[in-house]
Amino acid sequence: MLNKKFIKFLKLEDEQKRILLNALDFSFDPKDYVIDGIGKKVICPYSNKPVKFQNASILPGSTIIINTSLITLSEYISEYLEPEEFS
Amino acid sequence: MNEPDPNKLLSELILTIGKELTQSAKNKIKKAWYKLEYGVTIRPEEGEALKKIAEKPFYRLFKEYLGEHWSLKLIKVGIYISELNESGMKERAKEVQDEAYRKYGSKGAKIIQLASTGILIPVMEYIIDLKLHKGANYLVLNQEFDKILTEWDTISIPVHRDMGNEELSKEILKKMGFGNAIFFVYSAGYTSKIAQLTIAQMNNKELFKGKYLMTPKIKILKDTEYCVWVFDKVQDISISIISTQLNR
Repeated sequence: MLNKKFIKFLKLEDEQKRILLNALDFSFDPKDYVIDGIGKKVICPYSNKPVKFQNASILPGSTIIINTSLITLSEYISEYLEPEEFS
Repeated sequence: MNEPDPNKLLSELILTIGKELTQSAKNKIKKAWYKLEYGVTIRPEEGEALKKIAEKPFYRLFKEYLGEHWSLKLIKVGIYISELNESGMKERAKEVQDEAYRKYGSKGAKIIQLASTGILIPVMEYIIDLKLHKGANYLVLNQEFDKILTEWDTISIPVHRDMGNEELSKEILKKMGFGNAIFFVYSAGYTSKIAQLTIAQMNNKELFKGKYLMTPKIKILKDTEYCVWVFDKVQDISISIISTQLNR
């Protein structure tokens, strides 16, 4: 079993996702990049690139916004969900 | 732990659609978000699949033996790609290969390539065998896995559809002649029949005897047979692993 809190992945309609991000104090610039509470573009911690709304995943763990790909999702799972007993 | 129920969050979000996002609505959404442990993503099924792979005994064993190897994040992706059907494998591998290269270099791209040809898992099995049967420590396993990824193109023989028995046989003998400590022959689907027949005939003629120990690793995924034959140079079996460990 993964040893951290259970996470279920789900998809939201664009409008719902936008409301969720707004409620979590994020906004969007004219090019639809996600902007944080202090007005800066959100940078994906795995791809190190600004995150556009359409490609954003919103993940638990102090609310982490990433550019979505198989690799970034796998990196998130390694960091937040995998057991550490072997490391 | 019970599965989280996304309905609470969804209903809060739906209630807000088309309306002004008041502080009260914000607070309710935040409360639902921080309470329930789920993540929003574009293809939830891929997140779930990667999560399941992280729990598989095979992956966990590999992780246990290699420690915190840089490749583990890509290995999960590779296993996911390996589990798709043949066309799905190629399509998804193409999508992630460039990203893997940008971030992890040619060895990263190689993992995705091995996954898309169905042989990542047999190669991982070879590494696990080094631990189980030869007692290799994690440093040796790390070195061995990195070496395989770096030298893959020179230490492997892919069996092509148009490759005949004779041509494959020549290729194998050529690799043996080079004296590589290890090399691999791999095939998928129809080409596995050619490879199985050729290698069996060579084995019957005792062409490997005293020179290379040949170990087949066969995996059937979605009705396709993926085969890898590992050729270990005989003197290296006793010398390489143990002497490397003793020198540390």
